[in-house]
Amino acid sequence: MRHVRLTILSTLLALGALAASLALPPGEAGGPAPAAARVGGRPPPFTLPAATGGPSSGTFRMADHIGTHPIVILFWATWCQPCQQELPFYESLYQRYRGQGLQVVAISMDSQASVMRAGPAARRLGITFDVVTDLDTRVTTQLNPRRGAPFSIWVDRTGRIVREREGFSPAEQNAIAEGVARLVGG
Amino acid sequence: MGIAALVVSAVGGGAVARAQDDLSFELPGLGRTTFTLTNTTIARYRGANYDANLFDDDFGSLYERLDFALQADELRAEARVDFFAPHTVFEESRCADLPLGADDSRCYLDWDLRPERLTLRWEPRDWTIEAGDTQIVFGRGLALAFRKVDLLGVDNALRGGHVRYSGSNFRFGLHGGVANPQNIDPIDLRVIREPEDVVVGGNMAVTAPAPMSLTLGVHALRVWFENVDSNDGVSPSRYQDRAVDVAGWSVEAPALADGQLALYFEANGLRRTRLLVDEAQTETGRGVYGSAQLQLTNLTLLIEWKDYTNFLVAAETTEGSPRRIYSAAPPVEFDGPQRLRGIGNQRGGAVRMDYAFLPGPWSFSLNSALYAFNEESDHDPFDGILVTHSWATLSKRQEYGGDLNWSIDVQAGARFEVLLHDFDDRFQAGDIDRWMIHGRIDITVGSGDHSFDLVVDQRHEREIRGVDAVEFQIGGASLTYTFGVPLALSLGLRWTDFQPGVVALRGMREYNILGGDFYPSIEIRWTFDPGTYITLFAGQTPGGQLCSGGVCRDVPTFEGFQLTFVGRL
Repeated sequence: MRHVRLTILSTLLALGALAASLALPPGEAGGPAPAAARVGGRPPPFTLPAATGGPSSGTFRMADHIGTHPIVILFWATWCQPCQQELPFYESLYQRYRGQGLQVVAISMDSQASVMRAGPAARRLGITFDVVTDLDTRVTTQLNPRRGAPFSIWVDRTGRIVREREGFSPAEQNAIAEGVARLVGG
Repeated sequence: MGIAALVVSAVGGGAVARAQDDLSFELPGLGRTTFTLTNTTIARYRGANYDANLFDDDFGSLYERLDFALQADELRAEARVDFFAPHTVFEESRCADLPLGADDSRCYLDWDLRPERLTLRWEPRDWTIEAGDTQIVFGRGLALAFRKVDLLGVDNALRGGHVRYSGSNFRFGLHGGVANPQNIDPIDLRVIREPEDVVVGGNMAVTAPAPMSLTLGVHALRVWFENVDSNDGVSPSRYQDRAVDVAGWSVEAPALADGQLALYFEANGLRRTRLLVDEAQTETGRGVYGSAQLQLTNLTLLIEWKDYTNFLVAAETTEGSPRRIYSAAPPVEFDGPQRLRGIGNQRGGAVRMDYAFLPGPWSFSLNSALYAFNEESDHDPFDGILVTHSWATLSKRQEYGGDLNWSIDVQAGARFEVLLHDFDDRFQAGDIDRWMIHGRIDITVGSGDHSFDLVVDQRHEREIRGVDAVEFQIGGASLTYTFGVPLALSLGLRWTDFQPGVVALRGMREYNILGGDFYPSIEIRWTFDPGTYITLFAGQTPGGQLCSGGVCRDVPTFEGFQLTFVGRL
C-alpha cells in the first residue's frame, strides 16, 4: 500500500515539476517580467449581464470581440481593495487606447450579498468600460480557476490569451502601460 | 510542446494533432483547440492549532491542484485533479496508540487523490449543454446557489447534466445531478466525504425588449438529502427521506427612468418533508427579497428588504455544515466578516447611499441596516433579536499620471443586537445581547516601480457567553512593499482575545514573545512571469468564527509556514 502511495505521489510531483519548468520562462527569473511574452489558450465566448447601476447596460458578449479587438478582462470584487486601485489604472489606459479598439471588461465576482454594490462601486471609481457580474461564478471558474482577485487576462487581436496576472499594485503601472501599448499596437 | 502533445494524445485518442508553439492544435471536427494548465502547489507545515485534538498538530503536507482545459470554438473540456498528502502518508496510522473504541474521528489526516471537477461543455450559439460539474445560481441565490465561498472554504458544484438557452428575450435552464462539494477542506485539511444529495431544477425568464427591459422569471427545484449527519458525513440522520421543494418567481427592471432606477423582487415558497420512523413531517417557509436602486450622476441610493421565514435550502433549518446549504439569500448586512445568526428566519432591510465627487477622486457612503432574527425557526423574527448596524466610508481613489499617486479608504461603524423578549431573569427585553464597533483604514502610496500599502483594522465586541458579558478585540495591521511586478513583501501582525483558552495556551509557549493574543507573520512573493509566482508565508494567523453571506464556520489557529507555487501554461 505504501508503495502505491509513493508511486502516485512521485507521479504527481513529476507532473507538477514539469508544469513548473514549462511555466517558468528560461533565463528571466528575477528580472523584469515581459508584459506580453507568454501565449496561452483562448477565452470561452461567454455572455454576462451588466452590473446594475454600473457604467454599462444590457449584456457583454465576448464572442463579439474575440479575434477582432485586443481585450483586457479584469476579475474584481467590491471587497477587494487592490481591485479598487487596478480599475482606475485600466480606465486611464482605456481612455488612451479605446480609439485603437481596446476593449476592457471588468467581471465582478461579488456574491449575492454584495452584487448590488458592484455597479455603484465602479461608477464611484470613474469607470466607463463594461462592468458585468458573474453571480454563479461559472465564467470565473473557467477563466480564473484559482479565483484570484484582482486577476487580469490580456487577449490579443487574434483571440489568444497573452498574459495572466494575479494581484495588482501601483508599482506595476509602468510595466502594464508598456504591455498594453504592445497589445494594442501588435 | 511536450505536455500539450501528451494531453492532446490522451484526450483526442487517435486524432492527428498538429501542435503549435502556442499550445494550440487543429483537431478533426473541432477546429483550432488550445490547451491551458494552472498548477497550484502548496507545501505547508502546521504546528499547534490549539484545539482539543492533538492528532492534527505538528505535521507537514503537500497539496497539488491541476486545472486543465481544452478550448475549441464551441467545445470546452475541463478537469481538475486534487491531491493531498500529509506526511502521515508515510505512516500506517498516526493514532495507533488510541485505545480500542476511542473516538478516531480526530485522526482525520489522510492522503487523497481524485478528479475533483470534470466538465464537458458545448456552446453552439445561444445554447450551453454541459455534462459534469457546474456552478448554478437561481435568481439572487435564495432558491439555489452552487458556488464558491472562499472565506469559508466552501466550493460546491452540481455534478450532472445541464442545458441552458440564453436568447435575447428568453432564457431557460434545466439541471439535474448530485451535489459535489470540494472534498479537501482547505481550512482544516480534512478529507470530506461527498454527500449524495440529489438536485433537480429548472428556471425560465422572459425579457421585454428595450426600453422597458423588464424580466420575469420563474424557477423550481427539489433536493433529496442523503440520510447522513452533516457533522461527520457518515452517521445516519435520525430522519429518513428528507427532501426540500422550492418554487419561486422574480421580476427585474434594471433600467427604468432612463436608466436611473433599477428594481428587483423575488419570492420563494419552501416545503421541507421528512420521515421520522413512520411519521411524515412537513414544514413550510418563505423567502422574499426586494431592492430598489436609484442611480443619479453622483449619487446612488440602494434600498433592500428581506423576509426569510424558516427558509434555508438544507436538510434542516439549523444546518451547521456550510457545504450542505444549497441556498445563499442576501443578508443585507455589512460586507465584512461578521458573525450572523438565524439566517433562515430574518426580516428587515437596509439603506445605502453612495456619493462620488465625480470627476474628482473622492467619495463617501452612508449605510444602515435594521432587521430582526429568531434562531427558533417557528417563531417570528420580531420575537427574537433586533439588529441595527450603521457604517460609513470615505475614499479617495488612485489618480494615475503623476510622479506620486495615493489612495485612502477609511471605514467605521457600530452594530447592536437587542433582545426583543425576556430571555431569563437576568436578560430581558431591551437588553443588549451583542455589540460591536469597528474601523478600518487602508492607505496606498505609489511612485514609479515602488509602492507601499498600509492596512489597519480593529473590532471591539461584547457578547453574552453563558451568564456573563464578555468583551474582546479582533484586529490587525499589515505593511506591504512592492517593487515593480516581481517582488511583494508583507509584514503582518494580528491580535485577538476572542478565545481566552487559546490566548492562555499560546502565552505558555516561549516563542510567542509578544504574548498569547498576538500573531506576527511575514510573506514574500516573487513573480517570475505575470502568470507564475512563488509565495512564502511564515508566522501565525488567529482562528475564530468567520462568516460570509450569513453562513459561519469556526476556523483553527495557524502556526507554521506555507510555500505556494502557481504556474500557468
